[in-house]
Amino acid sequence: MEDLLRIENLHISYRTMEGTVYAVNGVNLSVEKGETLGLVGETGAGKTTTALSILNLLPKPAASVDQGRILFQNRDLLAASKREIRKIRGDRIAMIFQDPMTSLNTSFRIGNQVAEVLRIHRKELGKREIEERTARLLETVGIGRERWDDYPHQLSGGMKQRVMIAMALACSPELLLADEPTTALDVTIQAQVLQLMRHLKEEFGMAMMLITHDLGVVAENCERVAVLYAGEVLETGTAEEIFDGPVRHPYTEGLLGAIPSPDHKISRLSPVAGQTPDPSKLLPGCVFAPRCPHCSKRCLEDKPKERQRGGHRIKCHLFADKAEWRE
Amino acid sequence: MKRGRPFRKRGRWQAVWRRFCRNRLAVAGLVLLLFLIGAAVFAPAIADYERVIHQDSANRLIAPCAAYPFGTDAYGRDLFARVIWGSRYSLSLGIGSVLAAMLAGAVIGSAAGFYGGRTDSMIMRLIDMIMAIPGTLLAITIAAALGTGVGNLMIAMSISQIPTFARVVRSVVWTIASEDYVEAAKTYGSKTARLITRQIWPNALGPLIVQASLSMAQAVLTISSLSFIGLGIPAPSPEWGTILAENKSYMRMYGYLCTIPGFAILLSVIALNLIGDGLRDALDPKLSGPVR
Repeated sequence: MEDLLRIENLHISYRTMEGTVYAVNGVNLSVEKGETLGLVGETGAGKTTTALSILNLLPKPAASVDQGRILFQNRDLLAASKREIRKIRGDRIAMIFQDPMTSLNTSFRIGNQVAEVLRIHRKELGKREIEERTARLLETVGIGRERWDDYPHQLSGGMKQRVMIAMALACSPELLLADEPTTALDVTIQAQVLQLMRHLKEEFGMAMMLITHDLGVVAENCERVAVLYAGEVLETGTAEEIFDGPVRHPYTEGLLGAIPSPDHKISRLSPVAGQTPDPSKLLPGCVFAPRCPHCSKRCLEDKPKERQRGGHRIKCHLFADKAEWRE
Repeated sequence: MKRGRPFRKRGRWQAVWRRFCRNRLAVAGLVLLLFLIGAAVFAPAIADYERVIHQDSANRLIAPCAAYPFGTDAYGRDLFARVIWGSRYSLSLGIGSVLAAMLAGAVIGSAAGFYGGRTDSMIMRLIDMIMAIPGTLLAITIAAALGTGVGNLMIAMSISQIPTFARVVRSVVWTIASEDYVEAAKTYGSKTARLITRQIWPNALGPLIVQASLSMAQAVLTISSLSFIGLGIPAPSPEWGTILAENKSYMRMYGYLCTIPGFAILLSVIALNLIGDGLRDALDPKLSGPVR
């Protein structure tokens, strides 16, 4: 299948008062048409930075893309002009933020906020048509059209996230970037919102990049998963390969070990020991080596190359000698 | 399109209005201001302009009575008609110059607050330079350079007030620009201008309105001051400060000649200040105490 979005060798750094912070270091990702890619990682792994860079929304001038390409339908977004990228934002690629409480403008009626997206990208539509479409969108996400005139403070958190989803879907984008869309919601609402997103993704036939640190959410919603750690993709594969397959990256293994499971009776969860490396210093070897239970001398000195078997890619020296894992 | 309303919902401005109405002093200020605006608008109906300029040496310096409610001045002109017509100058110039300064200040301040960095530094240092000169003095200087007259006074007043607005707007815009909903608006493709006018300004309006009403009070005073020293509206026109200046030599014997126009200035300044205070409380619910 053709890649809708392909990120190649992306390097992003932030210049701060304390020095340069290397947030993303050589990320390779791809999202196919209509699929959901889960982007998993701890806080500070570079998930949001990667997502923002797709829309050219990194905070300037602190952040800079040092290397790499982001191809959306074979068009390099990093090279696109401001005008071009503005046309893509909201129309072809939409984004949903983590906190629906603060992502809606408090002094706008929710209908107007949804309609705003249409007013920007569907200028040819008349006022009536825009209002009608907005009302339909609100209904699609499970908010009655009678709530058109409500202000955000009159809605619950889950409903606000639904409004955000309606805004993201307004122009039927090909790709939806969902940056921890359910982190700020409580668990029952989380399930509802995710179900809605899954349902709508199918209905609208769009692809989705679901950014989260919740592996449960990934397992339920994603076809493929990329595990991000310290600005590098350590493992990519289908959800089955990552969750149920025989082999994984030691880091992924560690993450899975830290989740409680109803099937196994264990008295203690095993967290991944240690902390994420200081992003202002680039490690010469594997980024996970200092926390890895299988760490060897080679891991500390030598950066492992990505090896793959089928679509499953792993960046780890443990797989270097195995014949079926090719570079 | 008809949208059903299951129950009555208050918009943001309705809530502000409700809180404003709870403040009696503010409502008194508003009534007072509406009264003054009414006087200005219906001045031709209240007193013929002929009475403003008509000199009558037979009726000089008459104390307030039924025929002349505010008395007459040294030229026998009807002070009541002059004060009523004078409200036109004070209020229109006060409100007009503030609105002009507000618009200019909003544009300048938004640019500084939104872009930040070097743009911000350059604009704000320029504003600081202007602010180093006292507002009234700046207005005097500009008025002196441009000459007297309504148009020039308006320009002088506006320019001297731009820095205040630019500063207020800049700080508010600066805060709002980092809100998530502004970031979200960028993700769906808003242009910078649309971002500022549609996402940021509606939220910045509160502090701006408060500043405007307080600035109007100041502007009314400054206009009268400038006219009093002869840099504002020139002599025969019935501007309140001008009337004060004309009559100041009669003040000891005929006190009403100065106290009445002075009182008019006082009333409009008080009205605007009360409204400003009321709006500040109404727009910031956190300040206004428990909801009754």
